[in-house]
Amino acid sequence: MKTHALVIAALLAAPAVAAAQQPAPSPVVVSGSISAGTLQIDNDTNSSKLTEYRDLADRAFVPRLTLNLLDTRNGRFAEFSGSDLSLRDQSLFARGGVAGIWRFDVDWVDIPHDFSNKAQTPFNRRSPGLFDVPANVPITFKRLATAAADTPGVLASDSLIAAYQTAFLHGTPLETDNRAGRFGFQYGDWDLLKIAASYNRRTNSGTEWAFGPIGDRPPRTLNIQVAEPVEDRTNELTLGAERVAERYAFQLNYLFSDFANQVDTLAWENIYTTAAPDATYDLWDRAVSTFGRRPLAPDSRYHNAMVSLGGDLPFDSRLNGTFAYGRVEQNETLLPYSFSVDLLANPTLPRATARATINTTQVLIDYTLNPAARLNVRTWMRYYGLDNDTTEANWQYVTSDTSNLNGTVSYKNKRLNLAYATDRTNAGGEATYRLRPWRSSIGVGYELEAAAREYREADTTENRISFVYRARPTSRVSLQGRYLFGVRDGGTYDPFVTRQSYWYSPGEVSGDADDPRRTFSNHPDMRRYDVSDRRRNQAEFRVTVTQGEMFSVSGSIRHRGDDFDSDVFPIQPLAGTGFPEEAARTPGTQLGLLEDSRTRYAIDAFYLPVERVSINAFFAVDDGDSLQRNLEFNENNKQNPGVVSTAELGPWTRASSQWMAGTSDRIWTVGLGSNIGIVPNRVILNASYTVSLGDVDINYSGYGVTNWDGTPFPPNHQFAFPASPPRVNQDWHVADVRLEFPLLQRTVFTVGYTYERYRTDDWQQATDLPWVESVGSEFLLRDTSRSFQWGNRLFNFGSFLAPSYDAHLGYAAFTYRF
Amino acid sequence: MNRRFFYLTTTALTLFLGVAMAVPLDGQHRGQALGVAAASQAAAPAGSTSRHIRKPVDWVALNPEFAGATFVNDPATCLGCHEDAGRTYDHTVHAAALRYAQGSDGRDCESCHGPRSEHIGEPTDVLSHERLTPAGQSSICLQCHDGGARFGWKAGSHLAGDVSCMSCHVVMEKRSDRSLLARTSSTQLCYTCHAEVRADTMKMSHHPVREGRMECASCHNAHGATEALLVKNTVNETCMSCHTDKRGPFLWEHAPVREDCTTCHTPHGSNQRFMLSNREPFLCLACHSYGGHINLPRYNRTSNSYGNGCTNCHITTHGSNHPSGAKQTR
Repeated sequence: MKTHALVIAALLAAPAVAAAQQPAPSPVVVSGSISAGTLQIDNDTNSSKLTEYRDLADRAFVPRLTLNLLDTRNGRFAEFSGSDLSLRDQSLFARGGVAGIWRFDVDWVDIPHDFSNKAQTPFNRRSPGLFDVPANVPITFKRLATAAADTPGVLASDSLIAAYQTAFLHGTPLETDNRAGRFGFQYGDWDLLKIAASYNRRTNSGTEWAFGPIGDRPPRTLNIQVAEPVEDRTNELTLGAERVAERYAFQLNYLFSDFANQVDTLAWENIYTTAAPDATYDLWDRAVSTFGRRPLAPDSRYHNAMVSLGGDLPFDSRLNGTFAYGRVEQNETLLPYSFSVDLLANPTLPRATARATINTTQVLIDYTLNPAARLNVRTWMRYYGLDNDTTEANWQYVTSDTSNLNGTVSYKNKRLNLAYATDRTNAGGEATYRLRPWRSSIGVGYELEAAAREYREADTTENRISFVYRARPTSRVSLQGRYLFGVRDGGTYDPFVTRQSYWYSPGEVSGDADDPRRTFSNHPDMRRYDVSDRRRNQAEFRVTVTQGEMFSVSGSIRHRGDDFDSDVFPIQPLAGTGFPEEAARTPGTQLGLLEDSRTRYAIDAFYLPVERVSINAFFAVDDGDSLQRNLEFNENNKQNPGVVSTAELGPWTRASSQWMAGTSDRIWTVGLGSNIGIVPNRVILNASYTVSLGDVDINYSGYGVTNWDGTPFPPNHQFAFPASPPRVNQDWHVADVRLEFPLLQRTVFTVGYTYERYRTDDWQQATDLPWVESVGSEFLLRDTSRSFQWGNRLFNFGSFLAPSYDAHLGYAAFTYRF
Repeated sequence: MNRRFFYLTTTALTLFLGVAMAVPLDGQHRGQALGVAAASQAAAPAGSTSRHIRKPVDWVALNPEFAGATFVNDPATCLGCHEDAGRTYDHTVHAAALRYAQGSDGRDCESCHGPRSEHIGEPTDVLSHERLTPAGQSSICLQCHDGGARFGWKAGSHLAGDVSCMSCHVVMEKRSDRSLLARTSSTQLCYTCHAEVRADTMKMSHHPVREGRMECASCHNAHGATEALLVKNTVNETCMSCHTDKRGPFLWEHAPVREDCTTCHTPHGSNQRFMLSNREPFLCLACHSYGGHINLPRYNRTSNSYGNGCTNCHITTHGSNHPSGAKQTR
């Protein structure tokens, strides 16, 4: 209704506005346009992918409105433009003032994000952040420990779950609305200063898909998907002052940002539990909470103050320097360790709030100069320091799994929150020399990056050199080639750094085989790629050919290849511990991401064969490949790997338990468009077609395809993974044709048709795979290994939340220009 | 690096600038220091530099063909031949500022095109902007625009790559809602050189750029000198200017997240969900090998339908505020 009213009002207003400028000549120049139209859609699957970021529906709407006023007596102006007015994806922009003296501007952008139109759930929203179920699944086989699959109790539970789904599943919206508004003001008519202030406000509302461990007991999943409430707002105030003089300039900026989440926690009921009398938990083979609960994003405040100085110096040079200080903090009240506080013997937290503070410091210095004719030199230094002032404390990792029945935890679950910090310095320079032949230039650059980190495995130092060549051999042709070579050194990699995150005393260990402080967490052969050695080769070549306004074509090839080889060799992680197997060695083969590369080709072309016909086209290929390795081992036998030397879930020393995965990720994109003036400047036909074909292949080998001894795993084995999982496809076709022609004086009628075709095929969202079976419906899937030890009671929102679709969109609009 | 470094650096920078401003400039720049462009000194009335021009250029230094040229100070003369250009120019913010707002000194056209007396006598293209270097072209615009988001322009990679203001802006015609861009939006403009990024925005998971809800300029300042020309000084500050719910700080941090969002995300678009750089669970397994359940793509249903993989359970990967959040499961 609101939309229709707006359309009618706008249509009525347009002639009035136009009439206002009829008496010629007025010192106030009014111009603008208003469009009003209607849209009809046929989306065969009602897929949310069509409307992911757009508000499309059968309706009348105002696709575009502009209004410009200029007072030629004094330069005062006002401008307004808007699109999709009153819709969920509307945008508005207005500004006014006296050009060059003062100005205000207002921006408003609404962004919908539709995740799914078909999700189903048994949960009901009782209050913000609280979800319960109308009834519990009355399973009687309540066990979390290991048991044989297909036992009568499990099968009986399946029937109950199926009946439950039939009775209680219902649709749930999964969409958010992001609304961002900004008001800014600038005044620049003082010789001394130009000042500016702006206020930004962003709100997010709706629900997005998330997971919740059932009850209170991760890591043993029993997860469900829940619609996480999104209700937050961010208010920001920015103040700025600037002076630009002939030889120097400075800027002062201050930003205050306040983020407030309206929903502090997400709580969801355990579908399978019935609380014991006077308790918040059910007693299975151990206590299981009747609700799960976790905190959502904390309220936070951010301050950033920045001062920049710049000056023009001799040798046609410029020095810029910026110093910035930032501080982000939060002090959210903590939840208790467990929803089931009645279960905990010692529920006291080391402090009542999450109190965390991070300070950042930045120094940016740039100096550019032209010390000789045709020579330009750029140098820079960047420093970024992140000090984490969050107080470290002794915490317990409490879940039903890790705590004893009285709520106390074992020594291995006494954890310290580490205040990660980092500091990074980049310094470098680039010299460019202009050559006379072909109006070309050649450049060479060098940059050093040094990063130091607290509580991380490695500090890194990277040296990069680059070369660039540009030329314009003729006025119609330009070329550019660029090459970068970088070597990052991870120095001494410390795979045992996570030992610092435990706070138990040695006496508590009492001979346990897997004391984290004496063994390891990550496998010692693992190299985390963000801090490992890296050799980077990056090259780019670009050519552009133009023929005046008539023809242009540009093509480019870009390649980036990263090799993370870090010279890993066998080590003895238990050496010096006194454990019987302290001589045990790792395989010495690097684990983690080994290689990553991406190659891109792109061509853009434009052709104007005659004045009233233009054609443009683009073609792009993006091809990414990565290779990684990992090793499956029994985490409970770190100190004594020999005990599991022939076990399926074996020792960390066994190279034959390694697997490798190569991922190939590609997209082809082609677009063709034309603009034809059937009657020049009056009757115009626009047509375009765009297609993008994306696919992802994974080549998997080693453990998972086979057991460690080479025996193939059957598809329903809990560790099995196919050598080549089905290809993931995402194809998109969009064809659009639009005809514009004048209807009345100043009125243009537009009629158009768009066809969109989206196809997705993704094994990670499918239900028809060898390792997936449904219980009752697609809304509860489980692994065909049928082990229920680690879950298999996962209530989902459904398969392909944003499925394939074919959509037809027809639209018509009047545009009145004045 | 420690705090002492900052104080030293800041002090040195301040001293350097102070000294630099006190040092006499060479001949080429002395004219600028006096507030009058060299080419106009002899011919134009004293103090005739338009008030909006804070950094007047030396036109002869830009193009020796300007030697001897004087300012005509009469836009009507220009419009006698360039009527079409004048008509489109009338709708620009430049017209509003130079012609109407500031009490035109007659320098309207010549503010940007330089002294044109010679051109009137012999209308050729020897004084055309096309004949200037990219830096020279930009210096004309910087007469007025050397501030704001352009503060870092001279140190930025665009200018170093021979991109000038004229590469992206058409100041004589209003083709875009704002900023006098050469195309209707900053995104279309950027694609003319960065065509490969358009392919990214066509991927399944992308920011709403192709839908027109965001633009390249939402994250990038084409005039800046920051890493990747971001609107903020770092990747994370840029991302968290909108994703404020991710900024924490958290009781339990995930160190790579705090350091750089692009460790796991490719913000231009991805064939993986959430713009991840690799498919889950392989992305997580590129760094984690704790043993048992974590090391296989199949185990623990991490490859299961609808599942994110590891983040089915380790859902608070951006950081956790739960007292039992050590493993980022809550």
